[in-house]
Amino acid sequence: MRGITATAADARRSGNRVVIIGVIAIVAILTLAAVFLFLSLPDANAFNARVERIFVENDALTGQGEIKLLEILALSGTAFSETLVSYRMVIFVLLVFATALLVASLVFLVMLITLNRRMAQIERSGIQVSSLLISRDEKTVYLNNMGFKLTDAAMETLSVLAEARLDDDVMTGAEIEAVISGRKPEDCEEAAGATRIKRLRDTLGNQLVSELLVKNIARRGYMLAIDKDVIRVI
Amino acid sequence: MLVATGAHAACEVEYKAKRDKPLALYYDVTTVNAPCASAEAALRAQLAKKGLTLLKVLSKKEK
Repeated sequence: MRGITATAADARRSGNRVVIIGVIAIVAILTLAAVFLFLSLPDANAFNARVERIFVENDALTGQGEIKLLEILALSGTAFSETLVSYRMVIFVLLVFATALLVASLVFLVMLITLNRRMAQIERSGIQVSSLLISRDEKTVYLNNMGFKLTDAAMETLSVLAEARLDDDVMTGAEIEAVISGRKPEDCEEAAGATRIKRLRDTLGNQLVSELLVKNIARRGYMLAIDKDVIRVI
Repeated sequence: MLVATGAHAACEVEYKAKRDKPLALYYDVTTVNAPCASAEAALRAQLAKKGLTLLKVLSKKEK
């Protein structure tokens, strides 16, 4: 049990490392893209500079009309660059969204991998009890929502053990017997408690195995309740 | 007028200039009260007072 929790913790730790590195990488790449975007898009003055160069390089462009035309060209370029600024804003917002989505998908991916590993560990360790519900009225105990009928005596034993577990107590056979019979522990025999435990194990174990492994199909017979593919004979 | 370097020196300069925000382009011929060797600097200062930037001097002629 301890080994499993340790490896699960390891998986979580390595998963966290992957998440941190991945998030940093994503943010770095997209920040780089954003910087590149802002640097590479022409600024509002680019068109003016181009028109100015044309004006300077061509000595013949001295007429009033030609100069006016050049100015109009520069103005239309400036108007276009204003729309470019809004495009840049939109692209930037989309980049932020892309970052958020990538980060989220990375986190989910790592979570999936970790969960898969955990699932594999659970499969390996056999039955892992995630819920235990003791119903005294029905004389039934529900393990992971599978109901098992118990005798009164087995029910008492299980209840005592459950209460002890809640208090993190370990009970000897004599103590179990003492709680159930209402006598002092010194007056009880260890063997009596051990017998109770044995009976509980027998009834519960029997039903567990029949539920999980050897199924009894009414009036037809018995069958292993497992997948065909997992059976291997060495 | 503005730059008193020589008493009798004057230079006729043909130039191109601009004004920023919004871009306005100018072509003009003017006379600067300076010898042609230093006419460009004088003209630049003269234009800066009007908020213009000298782009290019096309020709200079001693007067």
